[in-house]
Amino acid sequence: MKSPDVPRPKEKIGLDVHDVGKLHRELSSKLFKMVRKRDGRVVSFDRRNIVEAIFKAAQSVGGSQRSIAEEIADEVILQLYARQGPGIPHVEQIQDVIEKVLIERGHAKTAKAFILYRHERAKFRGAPKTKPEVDAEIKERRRRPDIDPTELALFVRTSGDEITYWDKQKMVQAMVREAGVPETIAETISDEVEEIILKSKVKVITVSLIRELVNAKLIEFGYEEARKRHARLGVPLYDAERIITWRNRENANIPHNPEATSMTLAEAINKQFGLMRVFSQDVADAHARGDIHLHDLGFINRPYCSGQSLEYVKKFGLHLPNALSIAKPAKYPETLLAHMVKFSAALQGHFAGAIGWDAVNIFFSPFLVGLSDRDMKQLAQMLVFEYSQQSVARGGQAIFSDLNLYWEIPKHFERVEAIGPGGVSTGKTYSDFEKEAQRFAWALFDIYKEGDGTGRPFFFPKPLVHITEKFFSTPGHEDFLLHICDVAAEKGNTYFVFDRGETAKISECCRLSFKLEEADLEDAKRPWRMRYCALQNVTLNLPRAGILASGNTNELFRLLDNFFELAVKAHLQKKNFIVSLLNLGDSGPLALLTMKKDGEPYLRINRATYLIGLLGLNELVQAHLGKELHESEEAFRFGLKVVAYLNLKAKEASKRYGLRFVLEQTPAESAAYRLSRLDLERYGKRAEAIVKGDPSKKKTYYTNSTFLNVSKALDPIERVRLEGKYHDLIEAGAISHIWIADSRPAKESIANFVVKTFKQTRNAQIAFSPEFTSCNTCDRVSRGLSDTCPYCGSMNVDGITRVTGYFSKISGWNDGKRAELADRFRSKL
Amino acid sequence: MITVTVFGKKDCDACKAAIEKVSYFTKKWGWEARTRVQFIDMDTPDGLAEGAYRDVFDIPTVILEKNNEELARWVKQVPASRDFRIYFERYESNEKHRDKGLH
Repeated sequence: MKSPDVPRPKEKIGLDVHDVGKLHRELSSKLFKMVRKRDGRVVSFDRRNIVEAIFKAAQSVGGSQRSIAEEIADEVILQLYARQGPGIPHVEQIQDVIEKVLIERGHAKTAKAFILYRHERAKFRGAPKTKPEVDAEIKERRRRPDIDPTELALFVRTSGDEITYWDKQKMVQAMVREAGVPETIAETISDEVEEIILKSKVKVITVSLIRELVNAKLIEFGYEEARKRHARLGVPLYDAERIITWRNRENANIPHNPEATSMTLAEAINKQFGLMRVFSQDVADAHARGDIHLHDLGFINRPYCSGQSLEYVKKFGLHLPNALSIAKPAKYPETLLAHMVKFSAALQGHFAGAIGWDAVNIFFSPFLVGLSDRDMKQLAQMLVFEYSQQSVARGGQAIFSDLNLYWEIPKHFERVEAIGPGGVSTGKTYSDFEKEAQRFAWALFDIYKEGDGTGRPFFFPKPLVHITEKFFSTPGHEDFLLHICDVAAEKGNTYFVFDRGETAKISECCRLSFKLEEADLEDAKRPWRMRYCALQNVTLNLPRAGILASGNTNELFRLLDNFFELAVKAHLQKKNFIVSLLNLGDSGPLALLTMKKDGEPYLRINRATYLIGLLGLNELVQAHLGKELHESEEAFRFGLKVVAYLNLKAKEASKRYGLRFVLEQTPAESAAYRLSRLDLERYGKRAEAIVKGDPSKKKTYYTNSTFLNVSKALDPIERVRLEGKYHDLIEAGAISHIWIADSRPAKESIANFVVKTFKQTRNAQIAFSPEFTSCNTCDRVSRGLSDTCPYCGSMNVDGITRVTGYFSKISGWNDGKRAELADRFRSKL
Repeated sequence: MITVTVFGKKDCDACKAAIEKVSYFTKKWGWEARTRVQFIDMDTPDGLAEGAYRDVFDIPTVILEKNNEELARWVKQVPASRDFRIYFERYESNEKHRDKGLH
């Protein structure tokens, strides 16, 4: 190797050759951090490897000066940088530049030795297609833009069901437009992706694969944020096939049919979109990890649930944005009923959860004057069947519907002007229609008692009877109470909602309640204004905090703080997203919720509620104190302290953000199962010690919200009393379940129980849940759960009972809920 | 020993009034030594939890107890002195009977 022929300056102008060399060395050692190897791995860039390769080649032809190899290596690095800019160079690119520099600098022999060595190594590796070959192909393609793409024999299957010619520029455009990648980087990446594809010799490639290849390059180049923006959403073929073929057990209310399949597939994409674009990385990770649970991610573009008044429909008719036809206010009860059901279906298309209706029998009452008992019952029957059979919403599900009912005219509606047929005032107040309202409520429960055509209980709409102080002073309440208790004993449908003192509520979903505040009671004077929305529900994984705190109380509350703040952050992000959709107004996807028939948008975002769900308080306390809630006064009180702490945190967050954060008992149909599984995977024996169900079979669950252990043989009134102590702290609604299984308590016993619960406890809501076996062969229904029909012996039967806050077929339940069902202690009143 | 517990909040005037009133009258009637007056702040987790345990959610709530047995409760109101005086008198009467061995 001869000495480099570098001209030495006669006068020192600023830097001498030594200085330049030093500068080169400093610079070259900083230009690249990583290098990509032939097998695709990215490893640390080491300048010494280049020096070594050059020196070895030089040595093979008699060279001996390492310093020259060092200078050439620096030159190689600088040229490489000048050629391709920052990013990760490929080892092949480096070798190309080594050859070039050696030749340019006049080291022909060394260059030849290097090329030979390189060729031998390539042969040894047995590359399917040599670099020169690929280069030649690529160069030819670049040199001749007029070339017929079919000559490259590469086609692209697009997401729009078409096959098009390969066009590298589309990758560049997508990276620049969607992810904001600098054009030069996008060009480099697209070159490299093209190289990989051509090397692979595939004939047809899908856009999804191209995108993933580009994404892999973006990661290599350190453009992780851009990669996220450039991501593609979808489901693996395997998953899609399973979704299309098998039943979805995430939610027992989802049927198994093509509509449900479409919804599940759409949910998968919505979920990914939510986690990538709506929520920040830390929130999405907290959900994925299981610190919190973001509910209804599959419905990311909708608020959570809605409660409203029939008065809106009575006053404004059915005049919905983008509807094909418009209906004026109803003049007949059947028409009003049709409007109500259709509006419910439209709303269900805009909310992830329940659609609740306030004081249904009261607001129907002006339409019911003079109706015979037969017609009244017929109307009630239509209402219940319309809701229970209308499988139109959210993937062919029945509308998750709630009817709030009163025997009395509650105080806040007593003097309210009643709207009658045609949307005009009757000139009377609702107090004047009490009899009609009572007859309708009675008729509705006649229908519930009969059940459907085979005697099964109706799953929807859920009837929620409000028991107020005034209830007990309203004539006929004893008989009505026995009537609804008869239904509770027979079919289990009745929900008893307790509005003590001055409290007024509208209830819906599995247990959600909107307590009417001062502004709401003001709205009650013009009830069409009454509408409530919970924008989102985010549940805290309480047991995990218990596990991680390892008995340290300060640490426990610190963890609860963390989870809570993540939940608040999630709420703010979801709100921003929903507001951005609402801001699109008529042309946006939530146009229905922006209609302003009464001067205000249907969804009044400033009145929305933000739910902080509680799950597994029992297991938190068990992990922390070694005892479950029912096992000691200390454990029970500690549970109260945790909930009180979170209640105050919700108030503080409300003040901080000017939003209404409230605690809710999470129904946790899937979260109780999911979070228990995640904890088992992560924390092994520590989680195994507290999860309920069967950890060995991974059929586990956490106890719902603030409930006591469902398997414990507690006196039902004592359970209701104890659980009720938590209810006032959970402002967005709470419930206690009494699982009565195959027993059929006397209606008088249930009535006594209800009165006792109202007068002697703080419990907010109770429901009695019998179990049924419905035979698909003989269509008969029997009490209790059994594998065969007791009438015809058929094994083609469905078990039916409440999964959480609603009835459903057990065949649709997830493994966690089935484990809970097996554990449930059945009471005999 | 009689315990009078006032559940309230620091910024609640009626709650302060309840504490002051009970303290004033127990002193005036000479029962100060045999009475414990305590305030439970419902704005703290412990206070709110204690309230929940004892089914208290409105403020002020005043609970009068003897030996952990609840004798009377006034919800959302400051009790009139005559209303809680009767419990002190009954207590005193019982004490006298006990002293005389009649109880």
